[in-house]
Formats: sequence, structure tokens, C-alpha cells
Amino acid sequence: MKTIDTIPELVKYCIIALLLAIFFFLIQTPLSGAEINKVMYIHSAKAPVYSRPNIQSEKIMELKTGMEIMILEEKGFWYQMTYQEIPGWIFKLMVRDTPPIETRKIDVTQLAELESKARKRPSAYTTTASARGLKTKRDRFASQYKNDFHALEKMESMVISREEADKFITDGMKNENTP
Amino acid sequence: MKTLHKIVLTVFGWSLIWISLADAGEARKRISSTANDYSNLSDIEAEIRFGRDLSARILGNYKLLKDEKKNKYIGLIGTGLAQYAGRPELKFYFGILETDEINAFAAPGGYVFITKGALAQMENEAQLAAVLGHEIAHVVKRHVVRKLNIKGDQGSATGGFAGMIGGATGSFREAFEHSLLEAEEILFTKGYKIEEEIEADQFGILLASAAGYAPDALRDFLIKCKRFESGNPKTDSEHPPHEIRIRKMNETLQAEGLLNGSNAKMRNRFNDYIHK
Repeated sequence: MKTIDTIPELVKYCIIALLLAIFFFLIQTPLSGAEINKVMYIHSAKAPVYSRPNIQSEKIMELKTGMEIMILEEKGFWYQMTYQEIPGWIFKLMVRDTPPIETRKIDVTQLAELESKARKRPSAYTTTASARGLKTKRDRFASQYKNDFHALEKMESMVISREEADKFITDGMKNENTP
Repeated sequence: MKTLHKIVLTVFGWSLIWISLADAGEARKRISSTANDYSNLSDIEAEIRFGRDLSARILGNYKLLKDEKKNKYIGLIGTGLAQYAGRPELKFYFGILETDEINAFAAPGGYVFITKGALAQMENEAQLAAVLGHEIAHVVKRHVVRKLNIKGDQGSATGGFAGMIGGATGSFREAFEHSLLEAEEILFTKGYKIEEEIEADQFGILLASAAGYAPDALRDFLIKCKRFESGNPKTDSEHPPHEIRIRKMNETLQAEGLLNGSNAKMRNRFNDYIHK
């Protein structure tokens, strides 16, 4: 330890600073490199993977909802990723860092009750809104204020499967490309 | 020896401080990300219920077009596009509004509307796909949900959904009504923030492109709509000045190498369904 005591003060401070710098560098890397080697999940039903971060590039594969991918890099709208060791690029908008959840089905019996209340609400609301100084905003829509749950149910009753939609678009593209 | 101790203690002390700060930062980030995520089950149910109520109002203000063939057509294109959007928990619905106004709306929870007037100005299916993609983006990015803080817990204005169903007090109903009015203002008068519109434009372009449509269709439609901007104050009132959006779209098309992209516009099929 005698050797340490003989080192000049300035050199000691330099060694301390260097050690601190090395240590901070070592512990900082895993904490801040969030996007590197991070597992994420496909949230879209269809997620094409391209060879480059460009939609014109070759489509390597198509991933599905819930598949786990490893994110390597971020670039604009894209993530560079690997899936089962196959590398590629994917749109960020199709990916999230939590696993997806299934399509929610709302209990229609509860909705019926909610809607019957919604239909009663306007007159009650006018009074409370006036009291709270919201009348101006309320009045702006007052002449048009009505619900049409019947039309909404009609809209919701139009069932289109993903397969049907897919086929419709694909067939259209084929016809477009046919001279 | 004392100096060595000093060095070791200094390094150790600083390291502990650093790790504690970093951990606290990470924890804060995690908490804040969960708080603003709107993705737990009750949040999603609140979003759908709110969107449903808002949609019933939209359909109360305008009429749903009584043309099954046309409604089905936009439903097919919209459902096809929604497959590329990252909200698997939502089912998207599409409808045409019986009005000559040129506009499109999206309510939270997956309800997308386009006006008969907007369809009349469109030239092809690629433009329809891009506009639907733009509206899907407002839903996927939860622009209304975030602005109005629509959450399933009791801590937000609309958190009384569960309470309402169970016959809760009027205060929750008032808050809910107020949020609906705010949402109507966003859709019909105030509009979204320009950053949200630009984000929806970019997203719309990417969705339509991923499905195989010409990437520049949204820009072309907006350029066409620009003609109506000054003449009709109701036209496209939801959206900010066209010039900024068109400029930003050009930047996106350039940056993503989409200017020489797919040329699939599907004019004939669009005319068969919409203009005949």
C-alpha cells in the first residue's frame, strides 16, 4: 500500500475519476439500452416483415397476433427485429411491448340498460349543465342532440370476417394487375 | 491504506446512488407508462362503451345511408385494413353517413364513419382505403381516449361506467355527458391537434400501403379536397390546414421511399360500388 501513498494527489484523483467513469459506463449500458434486444409482441392480425425498412423491399414473412419478436434497432416508422432467428424489418405500429388481449365483447344486456339511461339523460343533463356553466357548449348541439341506437345496431350487425375482407382486397389487386 | 479505502468507498457510494436513481427512474417510467396506457380490460370496455354512445349520437345527427351494398363495400375495405392496425382487442365497424358534407369521423372503440359527400369526391378505392386508414389511426392511437382520459377506473371522468350500469349517482352521468360533448366538439368543431392529424395521415398511408394500395392516394384526395376548403366552412372542419398536412405527407412518402410505390388504385371497382 506504500506504493499508493507515494502516488501524487493529481494522479490519485485521475484514477478515481477513471474508475468511476468505467463503472458508470458498465452499469449504464443495460439500463438505458431499452430498444436493444427487447422482446415485443405482434398486435396486428397481419404483420408483414420486410428485408429492409422500406415497403418496396422483399416481403420475407407475415407474422400474426401474439407472436414474440426480438427488437434489435429502431429507425423511423420501423423496428429491425428477429423472429425465430429470421431477421427483418416491421412497422412499429403493429408491435407493442405487452402481449395482446383478445377482442372484447361487451355484455349487451348491460348496454341495453345503459342505453335506456342515455335516452333519458338529455333533459336531466340540460339542468345540471346550466348550473355548471356548460350550457353554451350544450346548446351548440342541442338542436341536433339525439341518439340513434337502432342505426348503430344495424351498423354493428354487418358481419364481415377477416378472410372475406382479405379475399375481396386480394381479388381486387389481382384484377387491377390483369391487363 | 486509507487512500485505498477512500477510493473504494467513493466508487461504491457513487455506484449505489447511481443505481438507486436509475431504478427510481425506471420505476417511475413503468408506473407512468401503465397509468397512461389505457390498455387494461376495464379501460378498453370503457372506451368501447363511450365510443358506442358517441356513435349513436353521430348517427342521431346524421343518418346511416340506407344502401347495404355501399356500406358492405366500405366495411370490406375497412376490415381488410384494420388487420394491419395494432388493436386486436377491438372490432371495427364502418358506416356511410347520409350527408353531402365532405368528412370522415372515428369514435373510440372502433366505429368509423365516412360521409356520402366524401365518397362522391373520391376517384378510386386507394383514396377510400387511405381515408379509412387515417380514421382507424385515430382509434388505434386513442386520440380522443387520451384527450378525455376515458378509463375504466373510478379515477377518470368516464370511470363511472360500471357505476352507471349499476344505477350510480347523477354526478357520474354528468361527467360522462360532459365527455361526450367534448368528444363531439373534437369531431365536429375543434378538431384534433395537428400532431395527431399528421400522425393519423402517416399511419393511414402506411396501413393502405401495407394492404397493397397506392401510397400517395391520401395526399391526392387531400389536394382535391383543398378546393372546397374556403368555399364551404363545414367541409373537412375536423382537420387542420391542408397545406401543412400535404407537406408532411410528401415528406413521409419521400422518407419511406413510397413515391414510386404500388400503383393499385382500383378505380373501376370503386366506380362500380360507389358512383353507379
